[in-house]
Amino acid sequence: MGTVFSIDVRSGVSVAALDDVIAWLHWVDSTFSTYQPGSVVSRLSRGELTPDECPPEVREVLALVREASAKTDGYFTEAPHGILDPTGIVKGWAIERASDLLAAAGSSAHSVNGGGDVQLVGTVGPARPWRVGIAHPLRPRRLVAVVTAEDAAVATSGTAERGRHIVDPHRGAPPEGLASITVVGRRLAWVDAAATAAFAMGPERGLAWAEAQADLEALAVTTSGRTRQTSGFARWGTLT
Amino acid sequence: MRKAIYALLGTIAGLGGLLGLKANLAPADTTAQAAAPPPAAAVEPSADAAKQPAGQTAGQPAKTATGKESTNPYESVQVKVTVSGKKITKVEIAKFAPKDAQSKSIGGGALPKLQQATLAANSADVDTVSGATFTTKSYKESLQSALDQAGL
Repeated sequence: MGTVFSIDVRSGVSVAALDDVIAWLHWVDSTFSTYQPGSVVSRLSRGELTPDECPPEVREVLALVREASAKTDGYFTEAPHGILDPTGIVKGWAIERASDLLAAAGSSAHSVNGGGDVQLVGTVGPARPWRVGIAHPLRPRRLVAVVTAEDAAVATSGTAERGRHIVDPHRGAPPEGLASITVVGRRLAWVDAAATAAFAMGPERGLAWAEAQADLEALAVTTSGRTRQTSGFARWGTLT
Repeated sequence: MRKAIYALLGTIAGLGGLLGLKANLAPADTTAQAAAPPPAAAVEPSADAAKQPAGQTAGQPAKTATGKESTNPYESVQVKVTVSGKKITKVEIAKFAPKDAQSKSIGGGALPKLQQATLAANSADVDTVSGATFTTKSYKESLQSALDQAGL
């Protein structure tokens, strides 16, 4: 598995600040990896550590996981495969925090994209908001929509990843009917978790749930290639 | 324009250890509407940062670099990149050899997405792309070695 992180800074920031962001992503990976037996999260899930013995960031993520689980009717879960695995929120949270690091270093305009989940700050230029292409889940190299936004977060959950099986925790099986769902909101940790949860819900429940969230909009692409969107999505996105 | 390319080895959700970080200094590219921004940290210099050493300029001849062939239990992948100045303008799959039918269906669908993600956009009108996820470690390893050869 792998992810390329793209950081696009449109207002002055030092290379040192970028180095801090890279160091941060390294730290997050080594701390939260479920693939490294010696990581804090691996040891926590084996019961070798208590949450109080973990770095505060781990407790912060666990609290976010519980909050996301409560807000998504349990469709976002801390143990999607029966063992503690906060991975579903860690990437969005790490990108959001990376963006915060850049902002603290003086950048009022940047985007941070990790594997297709994006945190946007400010604008690209005067009167020029960010434009985020939404990859078509069924048509390689095509976009299904373009989201135009400033100070926003965009995350997409889909089926196209080997090794990532989003399971409906209430059925214990992958959901049916969705090729991908894109969620737009303000902060990526929540938006990322929401995209995971909405995908697990499937097309009907997922769209209805997103519609009921005041701070989120969503665009779904069904396995048959149909698009469906929440009533407010058009404020952000245009279908291509 | 300072650029850095980050390629991370990831876990299921794609967090991972850094494969490589290349930083280059080049002048600000005022025509920022290139065909495709590379996976890079493009730092638009502020006025006081304009004292950076002049580097490559636009309109240089493009050069290509082919990465090493990288193999995993599922497939072999080799990636070719085309670079103009300090911009990745094209990413091609030079070789894709799946080991079984399932890998073909997964990798065959994923690799074009990887190309898309690497190029960040297939349209000059888009700054970045959501939903183009990296899944193939082999692709990334080959891409990284191609970028190394291209001097990015």
